[in-house]
Amino acid sequence: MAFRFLHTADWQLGKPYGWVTSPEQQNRLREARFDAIDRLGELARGEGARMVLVAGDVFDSNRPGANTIVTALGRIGQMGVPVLLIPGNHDHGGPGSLWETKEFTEQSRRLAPNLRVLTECQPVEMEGVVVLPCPLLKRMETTDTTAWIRQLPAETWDSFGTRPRIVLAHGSVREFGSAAGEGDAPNQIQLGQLPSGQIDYVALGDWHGVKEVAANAWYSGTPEIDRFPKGADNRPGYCLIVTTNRGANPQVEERRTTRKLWHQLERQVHSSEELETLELEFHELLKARVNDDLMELEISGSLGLDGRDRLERMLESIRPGLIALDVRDRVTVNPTEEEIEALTCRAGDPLIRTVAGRLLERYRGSTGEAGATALSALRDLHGLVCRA
Amino acid sequence: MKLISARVRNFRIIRDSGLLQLDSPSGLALLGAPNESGKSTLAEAIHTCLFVVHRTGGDGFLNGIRPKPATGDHPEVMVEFEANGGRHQLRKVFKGGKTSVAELTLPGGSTLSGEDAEKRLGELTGHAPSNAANREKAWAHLWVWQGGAGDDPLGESLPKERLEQRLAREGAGGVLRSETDSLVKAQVENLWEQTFTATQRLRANSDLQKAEVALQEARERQQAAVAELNRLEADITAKVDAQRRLEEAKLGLERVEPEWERAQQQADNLATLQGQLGDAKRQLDAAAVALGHLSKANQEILDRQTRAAGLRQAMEPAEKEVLDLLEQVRTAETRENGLHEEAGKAAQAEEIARLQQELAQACANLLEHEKTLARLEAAQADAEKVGAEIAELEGHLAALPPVDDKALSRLNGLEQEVLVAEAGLKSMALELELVKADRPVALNGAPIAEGTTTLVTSGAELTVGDGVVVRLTPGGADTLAKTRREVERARAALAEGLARCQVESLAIASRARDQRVDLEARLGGAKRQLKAMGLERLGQELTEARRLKSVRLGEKERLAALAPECVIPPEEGIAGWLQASKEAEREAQAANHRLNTEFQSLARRVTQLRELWGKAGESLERNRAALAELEGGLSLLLAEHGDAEQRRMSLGEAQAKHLGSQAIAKTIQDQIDALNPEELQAALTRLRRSREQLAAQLSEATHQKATLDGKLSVFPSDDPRAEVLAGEQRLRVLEADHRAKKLRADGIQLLRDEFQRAATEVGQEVLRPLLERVNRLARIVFGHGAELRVTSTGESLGGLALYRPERGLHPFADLSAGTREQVAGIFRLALAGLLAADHDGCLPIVLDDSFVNADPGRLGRMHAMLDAAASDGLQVILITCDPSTHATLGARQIDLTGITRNLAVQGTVSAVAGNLSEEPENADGDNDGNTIAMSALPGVANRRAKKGDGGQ
Repeated sequence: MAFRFLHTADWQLGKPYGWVTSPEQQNRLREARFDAIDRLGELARGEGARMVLVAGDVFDSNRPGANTIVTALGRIGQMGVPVLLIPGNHDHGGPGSLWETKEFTEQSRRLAPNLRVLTECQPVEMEGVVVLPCPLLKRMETTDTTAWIRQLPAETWDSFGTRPRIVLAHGSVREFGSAAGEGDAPNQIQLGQLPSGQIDYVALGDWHGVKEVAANAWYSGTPEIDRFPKGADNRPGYCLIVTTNRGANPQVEERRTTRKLWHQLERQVHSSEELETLELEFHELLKARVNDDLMELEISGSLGLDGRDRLERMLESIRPGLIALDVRDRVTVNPTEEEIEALTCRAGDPLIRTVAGRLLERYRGSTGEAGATALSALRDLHGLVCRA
Repeated sequence: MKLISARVRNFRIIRDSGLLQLDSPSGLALLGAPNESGKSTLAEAIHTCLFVVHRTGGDGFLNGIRPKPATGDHPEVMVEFEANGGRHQLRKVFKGGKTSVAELTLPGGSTLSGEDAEKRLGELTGHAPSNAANREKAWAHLWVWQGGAGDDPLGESLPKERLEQRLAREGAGGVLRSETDSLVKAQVENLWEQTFTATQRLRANSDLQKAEVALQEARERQQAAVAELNRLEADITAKVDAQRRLEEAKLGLERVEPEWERAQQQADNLATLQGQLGDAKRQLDAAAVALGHLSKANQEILDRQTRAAGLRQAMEPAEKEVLDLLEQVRTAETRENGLHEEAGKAAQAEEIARLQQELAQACANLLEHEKTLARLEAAQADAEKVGAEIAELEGHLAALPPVDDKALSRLNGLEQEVLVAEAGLKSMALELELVKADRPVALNGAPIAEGTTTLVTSGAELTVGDGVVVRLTPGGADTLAKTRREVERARAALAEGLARCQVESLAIASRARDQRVDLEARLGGAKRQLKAMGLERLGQELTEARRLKSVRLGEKERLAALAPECVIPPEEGIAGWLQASKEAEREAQAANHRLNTEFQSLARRVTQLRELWGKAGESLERNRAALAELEGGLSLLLAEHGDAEQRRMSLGEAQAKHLGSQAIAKTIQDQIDALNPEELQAALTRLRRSREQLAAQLSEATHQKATLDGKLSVFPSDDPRAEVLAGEQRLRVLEADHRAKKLRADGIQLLRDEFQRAATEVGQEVLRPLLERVNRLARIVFGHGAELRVTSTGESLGGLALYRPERGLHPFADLSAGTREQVAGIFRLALAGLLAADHDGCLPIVLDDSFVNADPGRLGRMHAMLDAAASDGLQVILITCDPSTHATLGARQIDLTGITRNLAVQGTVSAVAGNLSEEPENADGDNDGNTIAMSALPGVANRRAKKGDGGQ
C-alpha cells in the first residue's frame, strides 16, 4: 500500500547570519526560515502527505535560544500532520542538547503534540509505514549511524509486513557528500551496507541542495536557501513529496519552497559599456523585489577613476534593496589618459597638478598598502576635482 | 608716490612745525630731534592726514590730537606729495564735524574738497581714508611706528591682497590664487578634518573611528560569547564525565561486593581460630613456666655447691699473706720512731746556728753604719762653716751706699750736665778786674779791691766814687739768666742724685760701687760652694742615718736576747765571727735535711705496707661472707626441692606436660596460617577503601549530574554557539570594513600631506620676486650667502627666518632684538620696493626710531642697505633722536628741534598749500561717536609705553 509523505531537512532554525551587518536584515533571514515551516505544512496538507520527515538539522545549534525553540514548536504545531525528526550534526543529541531537556519535552508536548523526536536507534512502527531513525548523538560520529539497521534480526523485518521501510538519516554518503565540498565528512552513511531489498526509501539530510543519490535515496535539501550555492548542480530551496510502496522504487516529486533568493555573480568590467550592461543585469535580476534578495558579486577587470566611481555608485544604489550585498572586489584601477591629463595638465592649478602627479607616481611605483593608499587618495582627488 | 613736504599746526604738542621739506635727491631723509620734541607726533599727524577722514569726530579721537595745553585751535595738517606723475597738496583741519576741512589740490591746479578729496586721496594712496579706529592698518607695512621696528613683518601689517596682486603681475600670475586649487585644497582639508583632529588624532564619530569602535565592541562581544560557549561546553563535558563516573562507580561496587563478603567470612573464621590459639598458648606458657622454674632451681643448687667448694680452696693462701704483712708493718714503725727523734735534735742545732749567723750579721751592719754616720756629721760641720761666711759677706754688702753701675752712670751724666751749664755761664759772664782806682769802686754796693777780678754773671751796678754808676749787663739779660737757671737746676739734680746714693761726691760713689762689686763676687762664690755641698740633702741623709742606726742597734739587741749563749767579739773580730757563723749554719742545715729525707722515705714504706695489709684482710673477709651466704642459700633450696633424686622426678613430669601443650598450639597455628591473616587483613582494608571510594564517587557523580542536568535543562535567550559563529562572521565583516575605512583615511592623510607640501613649494615659487629683493638687501646686511626664508602655503605667509651660512637657520622670534629690527626692516623695504611698482616706482617708508639696537658695524651695513633701497626708488624717512648715529647714511637732515614752538608766523598755513587758512571756531562738534582717539589706539599706546618716550 502506498504511503505518501513530505521529506525535508536542514531547516537550520536560529541561524545567526553574523556576516550580514544589519540586525534588521539578519532578523528577516531568520524569520524566513520559520516561514518555510508554514509552507511545508501547507504543501504536506495539500499534497496529502501523511507525515513530514525531517532528516536532521532542524536547528542550527543543539543549544538554540529559548525563543527559537518555542517559535519552531509553535510553527510545527500548526503544520497539521505528524512530524518526525532526527537530530543532525548541527543539533545533535547527547548531553547538553535541547532534546534531553525537560523544558523542550514540556514545551513540545504543549505546542507541538504532532512532533516526535527520534533520538534512539530503534524502528518506529506507524500505521502504513516503518521509520528507521539514525539520529546523530554527537557532532562528529565516526561510526555509521545506520549500522544498527544491519543488526536487525529477520523476524523483526518480517514483523514490518508490507509496510514501506524508510531510513531517516543525516550525513554524507560514500557515493556523494563531503567530497563534493559540502557536508560533514565524519558522519558517513554506508548506504550500500543496508540490508538488500529491505529498505524502500532513504530520507537524507545534510546536503543543502536537492539531490538524488540513488533511486530510493534522496537529499531533500534545505527548504529555504541559507547560503550562496556552490556549483550549478546545487539546488537548494526545495522539499520532496515522496510516495513509497513496499518493494518498489519510490516516486519523488520536487517542490520549490524558498522565498529568499541568493544570487551569486561573477563578472568582469573593463569599460563604461560593460558597466552599463552590468547595471541592466542588476535591474533584470532584482526587478522590483525589495528585501528578498542577497547577492555575492565577485567582480574583476580594470576601470579608470571615473569607471571606478561609477561602479561604486551603482553598487551603492542596489545595496539598500538587498538583504545583503557581498562584493569580492578585484577590479584594478588604471586611470585613463584623459583622467591623468585632466589632473596633471592644469596650468592654472599648480597644487592639483603637483599633487596628482605625485600620487600617480606613487601609485604606479608602489604595491600593496602604499599603492592602495595612493590610489585611494587619487580617487578622492579625482572626485573633488570633478565636482569642483 | 613720494612725500614732498609737510606742515603741522595745533596737533597735540606741535604748535606749528613750519614747512618741512621731506624729499631729497638721494631719497633718504633723516628727521632728527631730541626726545619729547614731537618727532613721532609729526609722523602721526602726517599719517592721520593721509588716512583719517577729515570729519572724524568723537572726543576720544579729537582729544587725542588737539593742542596740549588746550588753545582752542583745531589740528591742521598739510602734506604735499607726488603721485600719478604730478604733485598734490592735501590739507585737512580736524574739527570733528561738518566744518572740518579736506582739500586736495591736483596737479592741474584744481581743488577737490570734502568727500571728493577723500575719495581721490584713497585712490592715490591705495588706502581709502577711514575713521580713526582703522587708521593703524593703513600703510602698516610702510609706516613703522616707534617701538614697532622689531615686529614680525609677516603679521597683521602684511598687505596680503596687494602683495598677491603684485606677485601675480610679477610673472606668477594666477598661481597663488587658483580658485580651483583653493577650493579643492579646502575640500581636502575638510575631508581630513572629518577624519582627524588638529592634533592628528582620529576624530570622534569619524567613519574610521566608528569602525574602530564597532570592531572593538565586536571583539569584546565575541570574547564574551566564546567565554559563554566555553562555559557551556565545560558543563556538557562535566556532565558526560559525571555520567561516566556514575556508571563506573556502580560497576565497581557490583564487582567489589562479593569479594568483600568472602573476605569478611574468612575474617570471622580467623577470629575464632585466633581465640583458640590464645587458650592453647596460655596453657603452653604455664607448662613452660613450671618446667623452667624446676630446671632453674636444680641448676642453682648445683651451681652453689660448686662455687662454695672453690671458695674454700681459694681462701687458704690469703690468710697467710695477711699475717706476713702485719709483721713487716710493725718492724718499719719501730725504725720510724728512732728517726723522728734524731731529726728533732738536728733541727734544734740548725736554729741555733741560724740565730748566731744573724747576730753576727747584725753586729757587722751596725759597725758599718756607724762609720757612715760619722762621715755625714763631718760634712755637715763644713757646710755650717760656709754658711757663716755668707752671712758675714751679706752684712758687709748691706752696709755699703746703694751705688751700682746704673746709679753711678746716672750721677756721671748729671755731673756732665753741671759742667756743661757752668761752662755756658762762664762764657757769657763779665770778668771785671780792677787794675787801679783813685776812688772807691763798688759792685752792687760791694767794694772791689784793686787787682781783684770779679766775675759778673748777672745785671749789676758798678759805682765809682759817688758820681759814677755804671750798669753792667753781661751776655744779654734774658740769656744769661736762663743759663744761670740751667746751672742751678743741673747742680740741684746732681745734689739730689748724690743724696739718693747716700754719698757726698762722685768719687765716693765710684769707690762704693767698686767695693759692692767685689763683695757680690765673693758672696756668689760662697753660695755656689754651699749649694755644691748639698746642705738640704745632707741633712736628710744624716737624719735617715741616725734613724737606721737606731733600728740596727735594736735588731742586734733582739738577736742577742734570742741567743744568750753567743759571745760577741770585739769590733775587729766581727768579720771573722760572721764568716764562721755562716759556715756553721750551712753544716747544721745539711745534717737536718739528710735526716728528714730518710724519715719521709720510711714513712711512705710504712703507709704502703699498711694499705696492702688492709686490702688483703678485706678480701679475706669478703670471701668468708660469700661462703656463708652460699651455704645459707643452699640449705634453703635443698629444703624446698629435695635431694637430687626427688628433683629428677619432678623435672620429668613438667617436661611431658610442656610437650603436650606445644602440639595443640601448633595445630591451631597451622589452621590460622592456612587462612593467611596478613593478606586477608590487606584485602579487607583494600576492599573497605574501594567500597568507600566508589560510594563517594557514586554520590558525587550523582550530585554533579543532577546539578548539571538542572543547569543544562534551562535554555538561555541566546544560542551560545550561534553567538560565537555570528561573532566570527561579524568580526570578518567589521575587519574588512575597518580596513577599507583605514585605507580611505590613509588616503585622505596622504592627499592632505601632498597638498600642504605642494602648497609650500608653489608658495616659494610665487614669492620668488619678493624673496629676490629681500635677499639682495639681506646680503648687504648679513653678508654673502645670507637669506631670509618664508614659508608659504599659497594661502598665507609665515615662518620668517634668517639663514646665515655660518650660523644656520634661526626663526624670526629666536633672533636678538637688534637682528629682529634689521630683518623686519629688510623685509619691509623689499616689500615696499615690490609694491612701489604700483605707485610710479616709489613709495615712502617711514621708520620711527628703528635700528636703535644695531651695533656700529651692523648700522653701517644697514645704511648701505637703506641707500640701496632708496637707489631703487624708495623714499626712506628715518626718524631719530640721535641723528649723529646715522651720519654715514648721507640722508637729508631735517632738524625738528623747536617744532613744538611756534616757528612760523601765526596764521594760515599757506607756504605750500597756499590757502590753508584758519577756520572759524565751530562749536557744533559733529561727533559721530564712533572714533577712537589716536592715543587710545592699542598699537600706538603700546609702542609709546615700550619706548617710554612720552608718546610724542
